[in-house]
Amino acid sequence: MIIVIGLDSDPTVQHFVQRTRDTGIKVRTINLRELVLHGAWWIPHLPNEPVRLYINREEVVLNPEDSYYCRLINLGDALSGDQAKLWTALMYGLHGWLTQIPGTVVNRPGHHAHNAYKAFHSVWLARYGLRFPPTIYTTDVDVLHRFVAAGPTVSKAISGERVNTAVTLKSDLDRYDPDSGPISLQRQIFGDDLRVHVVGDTLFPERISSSEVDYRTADAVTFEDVVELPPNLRQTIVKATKDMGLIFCGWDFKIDAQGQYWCLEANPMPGYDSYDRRKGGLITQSLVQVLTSN
Amino acid sequence: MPQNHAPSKSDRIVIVCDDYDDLASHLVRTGRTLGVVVEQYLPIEAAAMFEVIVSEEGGLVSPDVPILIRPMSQLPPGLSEPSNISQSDDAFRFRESLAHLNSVYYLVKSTVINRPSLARHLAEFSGNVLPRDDTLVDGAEVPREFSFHGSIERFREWFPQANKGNDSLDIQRNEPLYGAFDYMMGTTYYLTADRPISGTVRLKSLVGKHFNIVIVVGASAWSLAETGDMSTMARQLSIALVSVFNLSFAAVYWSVDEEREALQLTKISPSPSLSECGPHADAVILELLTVLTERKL
Repeated sequence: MIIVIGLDSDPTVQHFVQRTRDTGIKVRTINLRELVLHGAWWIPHLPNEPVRLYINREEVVLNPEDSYYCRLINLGDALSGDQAKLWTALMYGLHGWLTQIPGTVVNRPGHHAHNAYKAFHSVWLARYGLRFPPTIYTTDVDVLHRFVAAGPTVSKAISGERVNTAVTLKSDLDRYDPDSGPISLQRQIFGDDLRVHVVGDTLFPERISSSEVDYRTADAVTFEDVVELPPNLRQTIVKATKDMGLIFCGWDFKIDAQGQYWCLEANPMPGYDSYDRRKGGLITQSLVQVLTSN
Repeated sequence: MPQNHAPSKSDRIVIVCDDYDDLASHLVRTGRTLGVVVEQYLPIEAAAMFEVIVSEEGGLVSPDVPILIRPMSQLPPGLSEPSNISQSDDAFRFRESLAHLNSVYYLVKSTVINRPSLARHLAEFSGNVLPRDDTLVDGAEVPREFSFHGSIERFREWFPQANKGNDSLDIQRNEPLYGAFDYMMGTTYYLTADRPISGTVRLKSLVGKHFNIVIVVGASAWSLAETGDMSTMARQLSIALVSVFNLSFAAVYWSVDEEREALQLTKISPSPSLSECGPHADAVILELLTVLTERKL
């Protein structure tokens, strides 16, 4: 059995649960929202004891050796008062336990949270030989203008916030107020996008073509299964995923006209459902294989 | 880490802190008397000051100055409620600034107290370092720790089988002693038969009701308890522990059983306050300045 810990409204959780049940594997879901609103918990912080949860007058025992697919999203960040405190308490306990238990945990919390700090994230991954587009993070208007003048530029988020990538022109900078805080500008790489989901040693690459700088905003998008990736790239991202302590990771690349691969980021808790649908559920199948192999 | 952090001697130090940080203010005053420029910035101000360039050569931070990171308990104007934080443009700007600062802390070559570390990400949550049995040093006992939400009576009703052969729900009647932190009230207390577990709490086992706090700066440590063998042991263990977590400034809390000569780690706080430093505040501040400037002051 696989235990899923997450929010009932999370489409990625919904997809994983449905696809896994389709394969005949038993799934037990723990809805964090229900637990906070109507449940109770007893969570040891050392990894050799079970967690006891009470939800709807039912006891659920989580054993350290079990297999977990989790997406711990702290709704307390968006709440106030007692509700926020409850979420904080639950997240503290689950985070501490899931980080350490010997069982298999997909999206294990605590591992390499640097995706939320994009500058450090790219420098850390670049040590594997991955090529990243030049990027600046500053409030200095002169520096920003010089960067834009030097070549095509896009703006991106500095944190892990979901922000669409946008082309940035000199006229955009004229409206920039340094008091609004630092911004991130990156040299634009022209070409197709490549998304690669890594599950253990297995890769699921997909090439994406669109007319927009950010394919997630495009009306017309073409998706193509990629049969082969350069062997050194395959080895590199499998190793980097493992070194980050992850079983599952979603890598984003651009492929330029010369066929060079430019890494954009590695997502440690990928929302992979739309990619999996196009692949007929193969990514979930692979996750299930990993989670049931012990 | 992708880069070598080679600290350089500096007469300028940056503290990223709240307006009302007593330790930071003390550091500024002491620095002034010793000819060290100590600049205090709110997180948003500090984020605006630092620039990071990422190129094939790696990450370059300017200005490259020593940084003391302090805890953030005060939010910027207009962001006093968590609900506002998640919804407004100001909140987005705030989160972007904090993310930028985190990259600065990792990448700047000068000394950073306490520089974030990937190892600590595994053990840290909500500002305190969780003791992990595989990261502790010899001589330090590991506390049992639990998170609880509910009431003990309802738990017994819900889980009758838990009372058979599992005394974890009866901890207030058994050794060892347990201390509880109440999330809702923000208070701590000892579990007793008269005051059983209830509400939303975090519990930690204690070896006794005596405590010792040890302040560590680099390889120096000051004990707030009386001197003696137990105190010396607590200082030595604290220095070793702080090093394990890649910290260079911390308050290490010990529960002490003097009869048994036992020390149990209860908490490592990576951002001690001035009051936590007690009578050693001046010495702690001087050592912080020494570590940050790489100069004998």
